[in-house]
Amino acid sequence: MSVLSQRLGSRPVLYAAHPGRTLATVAVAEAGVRVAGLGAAIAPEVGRRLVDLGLVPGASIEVLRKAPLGGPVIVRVANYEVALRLGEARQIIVDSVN
Amino acid sequence: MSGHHDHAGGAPALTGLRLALIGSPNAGKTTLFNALTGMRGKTGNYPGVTVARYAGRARIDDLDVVIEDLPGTYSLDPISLDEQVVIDTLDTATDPASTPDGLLVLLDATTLRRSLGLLAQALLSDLPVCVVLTFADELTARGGHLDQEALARALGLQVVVVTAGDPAGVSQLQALAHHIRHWPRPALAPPTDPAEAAAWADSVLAAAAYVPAGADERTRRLDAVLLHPVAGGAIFLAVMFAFFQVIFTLAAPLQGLIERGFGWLGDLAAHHLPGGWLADFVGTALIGGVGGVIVFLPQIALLFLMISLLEGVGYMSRAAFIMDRFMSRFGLEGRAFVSLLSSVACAIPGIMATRTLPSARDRLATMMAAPLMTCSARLPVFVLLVSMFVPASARVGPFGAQGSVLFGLYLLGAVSALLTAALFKKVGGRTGQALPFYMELPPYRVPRLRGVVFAVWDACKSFLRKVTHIILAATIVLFLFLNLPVRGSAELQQAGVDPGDERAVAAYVIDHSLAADVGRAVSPVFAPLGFDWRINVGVLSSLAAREVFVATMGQVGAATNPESPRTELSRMRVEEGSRAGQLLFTRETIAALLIFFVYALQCISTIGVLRRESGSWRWPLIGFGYMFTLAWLMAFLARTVVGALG
Amino acid sequence: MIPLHPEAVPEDEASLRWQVVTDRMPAEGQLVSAPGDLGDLLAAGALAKVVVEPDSVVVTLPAGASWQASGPRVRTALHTALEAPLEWVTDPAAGRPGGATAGGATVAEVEALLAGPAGLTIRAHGGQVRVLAVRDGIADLELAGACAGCPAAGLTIATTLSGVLRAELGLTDVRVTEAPRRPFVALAALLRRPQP
Repeated sequence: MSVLSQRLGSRPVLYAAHPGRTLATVAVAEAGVRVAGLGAAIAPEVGRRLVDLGLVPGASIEVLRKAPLGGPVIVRVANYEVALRLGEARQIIVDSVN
Repeated sequence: MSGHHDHAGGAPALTGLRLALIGSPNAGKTTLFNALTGMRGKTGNYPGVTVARYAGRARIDDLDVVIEDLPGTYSLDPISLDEQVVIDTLDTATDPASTPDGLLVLLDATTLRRSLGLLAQALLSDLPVCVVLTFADELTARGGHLDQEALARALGLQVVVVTAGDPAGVSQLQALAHHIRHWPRPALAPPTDPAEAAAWADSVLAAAAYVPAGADERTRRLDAVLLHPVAGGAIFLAVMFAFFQVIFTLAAPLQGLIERGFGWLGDLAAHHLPGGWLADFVGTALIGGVGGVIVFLPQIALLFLMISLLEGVGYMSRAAFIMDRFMSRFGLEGRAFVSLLSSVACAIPGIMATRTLPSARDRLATMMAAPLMTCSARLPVFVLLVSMFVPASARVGPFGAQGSVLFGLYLLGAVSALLTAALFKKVGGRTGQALPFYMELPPYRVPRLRGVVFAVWDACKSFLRKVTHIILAATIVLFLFLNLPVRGSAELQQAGVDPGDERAVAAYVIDHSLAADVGRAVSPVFAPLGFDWRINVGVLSSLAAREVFVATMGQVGAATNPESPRTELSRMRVEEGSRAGQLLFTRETIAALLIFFVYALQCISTIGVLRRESGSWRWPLIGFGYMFTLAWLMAFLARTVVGALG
Repeated sequence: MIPLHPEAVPEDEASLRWQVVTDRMPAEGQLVSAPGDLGDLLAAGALAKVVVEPDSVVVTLPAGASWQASGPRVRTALHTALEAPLEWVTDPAAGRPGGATAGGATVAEVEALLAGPAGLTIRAHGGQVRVLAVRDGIADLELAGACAGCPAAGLTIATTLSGVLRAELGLTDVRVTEAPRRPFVALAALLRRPQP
C-alpha cells in the first residue's frame, strides 16, 4: 500500500448528520434537492468514492430518470450526469432547499 | 526512474522521460494519448491483476518520451485491488522503475467541479503535474465560461488547453516535456479532507470566474427518446438487430471474397508445388489455416467499428443503463452486456471487451460466460447439422423449422451464458468488497474519425496476433494427424487399396491415421452420445477452430464422395460396436452433436485469450472442464429427449 | 465551509495569499489577534505576519518554515477563524503598504460603501448605520437598531468600518454615536432573524 493510497484511504466519510429521506425517494425533476450526506450503513470505501463522484454534502442534485422495475437512476450532480443503482441511492441522504 | 544521466560539471541532461496520463473516463484521454503517441500499445498487465496496461512512445526532438495511459478513474483513492495496483505505480517507493517522472492530469472543462477532486489527489503524489484542459470549446458552446489564466494562477500549475483536431495544444504539451523540472508547482498541496477539498475547489472555480455549462440541449432531447422506457427499449432492440445484421449480412460478401481469394491461393499452390504431400500441406494446412482466420476479419472489424462508434457517440452507456437491471439478475452489470453481445461474432473480442468492467469478479464471470454465446464459428456447424436434422420444407407455425431450430440454439447459448456468469460470479475469484455501480452518461458527441479508426485497427491487430499463431499451429497439427503415418504403395496394395485411386488412398490414410487412432481411443467417452471415431475426429479437430469440424467431416465424407460430402455424411454407417450397420447420423446423434457444440469450449484460441486476460491457466482449464462436462451431459439429455419424442 | 485557496505572492516565497469567498470578511489590516488556532499560531510566532485584504488573507511564514509542513494547519486554522470574522483584531494602519489617499469624501460615497459588504455585518445583526456627516476626512456615523446599545458594537464595528473607510476613501477618523434608544424598537430588531 503506497503512501498516497493510505492518505486517501484514511479520509473521513461524510456521513449525514441526521437520518432523512434518501435519493431513492426523490421524484424525477424534483427541484431544490441537495445532498445532505451518506447513510450510516454505507461501506467506508463506497462512501469515499461517492464523495469523489461529486456527492458532497451541499451539492445540488437532480433526478433525471429512473429505469423501470428497480433499475438504476440517472442523476445530475456537479454539472454531469451519472447512473447509480438503487442500492447506492438508498445510502445517499438528501434534504430540500425550500 | 528514467534516462537521466549527469554530465561532468553542469545540470544533468534529460534523455528520456516517463509521463503518466491521468483523467476520468469520457474526458478525451484516449484522443489525447493517440495525438501524443500515434497509437497505444498494450504492454501487458499491471502486476498481479487482470488490468491491461497501455503505453506509447513519442519522440520529441531528442527526447524519448514514454507516455503511460492510466485507466480512466474518478478518484485515486483505491477501493479495489485493481485500482490500488494502478495507483501504486505513482508512488516513488513502490517499484521506482515504473514511477513516472511527471503527470499529465486531464480535466474536462465541462465537469470541472468534479474533476478538480482528482487533480487535488494527483498533487499529493509529489510529482510534477501539468493540467490539460479538454472540451473548453464545448464549455463555451454550452454557455459556460472559464478564465484559463486565472485558473492556472489559482492552482499554481500550468494549464494547457487542448481541443480535438487542433494541433496547437498538443504542440504546447510536447514543448513542455523538456522543461519538466521547471513546471510550476503550488507551494501547498490541496487538502485531503473532503470538506476542505470541496471548499478549495469552490474557491478555485470562483477565482477562475467559472460558469458551468448549461445542460446540453442535444443530449437532453436525444435521451428523452433513447432512454424512454418504451421508445428507448424499442430503439435499443433495433440497434441490437442492426448490430447482428452488420456482423452477419454485411460481412458475408466480404467473407465470400476472402474465401475465394484463399481458394485461389490454394489452387495456385496445388498447381505450382511439386506433388502430393507438400502441395497438400501448403494448400490445406498453411493457406487453409491462415485463411480460416482471415475470413473472420470482416466480422471482427465491423464488430469493433460498431462498438467504437456507439462508444464514441456515447450510446454505450445508455445501452448499459437499459440492460443493467436485467444483467444484475445474473450478478453482472449493464456494461457486461456489450461483452456478451460481441461474443456473438467471436468470443475473443467479447473477452477483450471485459476490460471495461471495473469489478475483477465481473470480468471473470463474463469471461467464463462469453464462450457460451453462439459465436459465428459455430454457425457453419449448426447449418450443416440442422440441415441434416430437419428438412428445409418443414415449418413450425409460420416460421421455417430450420430457422427456428437455429434461433433456438442461439437462445440456448445466451441463456446458458447468463446462467454460467451467475454461477461464476458466486463461485469464482477473490471475495472482494462489493464494488458500487456508477456509470457516467457523457453528452452525445460526434466521435473523432481518427480515434475510431485507431480503435478498430488496434483491436483487429490484437485479434489477429492472438489468433493466427494458435490456429495456424492447430491446423498444422491437425493436418499431420490426419495424414500420418504416410502409407507407401506396397502397404496400400497389401491392404487392398489401389495406389492410383486417389480417393481410395485418401480414405485409407484417414482411416488409419494418427487422428483415427486418437478418435478410436476416446470412443468410450463419446460412445454413449452416439459418436463414432469419425465424429470424434471431427470434434477433436474443432479444437483448432469450430468450423474446422465441417471441413474435417467434409474430408472424411469426401474421401468417398467428393461431389456431395453432405449426402455422404447422411449415408454413413456405424462401423463397429453395438450399432454397427446402422446410420451414423441419426436424429438422436445429430441432436447430441448440436447440443455438444453449443456447450463445449472447443476453441484453442479462446482458451489462449482466457489465459492472457485472466492471468493464469487456472480459469481457462476450469472453464474447459466445466463446459466439457456440461456439453456431455446436455448432449446426452438431448439425445434421450429426441429419442423419446421419436 | 468557507471556500478558500492559496495563491502565490510574486517575489515572496514565504507568503501565500489565501483568497476567500465570503461576504463576512474580517476588518482589513495587519492581524493582531484572531480566534482559535490561527490566533495561537500567530501568538506563538509560527506565523510571521498576517494581513487581511478585502477578499484575501496574506499569510507570511517566518524564515525556516515551509508551507509544505505548516500549510495544512494554517488552512484549517483559517477555515475555523473565518467563521468568526468579528473576533479578528486587526491594525488598519499597518495593512496596506501604499496607504490610502488622504482627502475628502462625500456622504454619498460613504453611504455607498456602507451599503455594500462593509455594512453587511451590521445589517446581519439587525442594526443600521447612518452617515451624519463627512468633513475634513472625518466621518460621523450613527448606529441604530439592534446595534445601538450593544457593548461590543462600539469597538468592533468602529474598527471594521474605520478600516474600510480609511482604505477605500482615505478618511482619517470615524466617529460613531448611538441613536437615541427606543427600547421597543431595539427589542423588535433583536427578535428579527438576522440575514444570512
